[in-house]
Amino acid sequence: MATGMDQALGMGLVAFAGAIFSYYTIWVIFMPFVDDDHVLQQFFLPRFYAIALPVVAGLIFLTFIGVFVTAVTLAKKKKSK
Amino acid sequence: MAPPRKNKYSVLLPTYNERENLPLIVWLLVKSFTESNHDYEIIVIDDGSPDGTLEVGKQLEKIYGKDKIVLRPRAKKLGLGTAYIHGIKHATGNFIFIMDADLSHHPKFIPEFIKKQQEEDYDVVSGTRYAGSGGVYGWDFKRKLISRGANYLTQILLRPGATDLTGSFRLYKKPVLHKLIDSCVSKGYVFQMEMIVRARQFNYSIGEVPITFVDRVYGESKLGGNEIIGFAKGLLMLFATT
Repeated sequence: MATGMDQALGMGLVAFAGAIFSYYTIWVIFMPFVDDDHVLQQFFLPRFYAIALPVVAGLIFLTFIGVFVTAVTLAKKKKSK
Repeated sequence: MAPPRKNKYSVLLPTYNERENLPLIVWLLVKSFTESNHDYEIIVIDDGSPDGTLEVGKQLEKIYGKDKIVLRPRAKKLGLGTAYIHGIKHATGNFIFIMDADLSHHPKFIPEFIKKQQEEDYDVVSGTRYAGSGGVYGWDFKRKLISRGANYLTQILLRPGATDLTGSFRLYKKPVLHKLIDSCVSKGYVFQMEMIVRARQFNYSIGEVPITFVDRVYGESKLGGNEIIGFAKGLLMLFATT
């Protein structure tokens, strides 16, 4: 069994991922059928961001991977010189 | 009429600077095998350890006997795959255990491996940290997360039919191990991954036993950017070629 702290962190991660998943699903699947003047709409951003935010997040992720690989490769080359 | 063939288990122990751990692991192995009443031999493949691991091995040979402790040293560090090949050449058992000599794998699981293998006559039995009661002791959260993430990635890309791909506590039938080593091209722990993937490729049956991996009682093993990149490269290579 993982330590208490690790279990808490793990639960936290799962809860966070679940929350994002639920929010996104409701936003994209359910909200288009809700009237524009319904009070629920104020919890959700304009649908433009339902596409924009994941694209930006994806780009940031790819950039991070690129930077990471470059940094490690450079460090390795410098060491083997 | 010939007597029924008894099973003999050869344990391959590649060592490098394991002078402190070697007596402990040998004692645990001997205890585990004699208590479960299985025939065994321990093959120590030392790669010219500067700390005198081989001397310790020679003393153990005197204590337990030349038939139980088999020393097959090499001149220098030549890698895991070749260590296994070297060890197999002199193995007299029909089954081969591979495991770490630094006490991260506990010999107490050996009877469970044997039992599992006999259940369905598996060609390979792999110790898994990710299923059942398997797990890791001594890693911090970040390390565990990375390990889980990496394993998940391999599950998606390779569909290996085994839950733990980088583990190195395994039981093989001797001819199976021989064939797998011959067909593997990679090195290090990617080699362990490739073994399982090739086993699936050749349609060998793979069983699993939950084990606990205890990270280095002495010293600390680090996971650096290099290892991560090496893993990614190996994973992509396997994905592209199998």
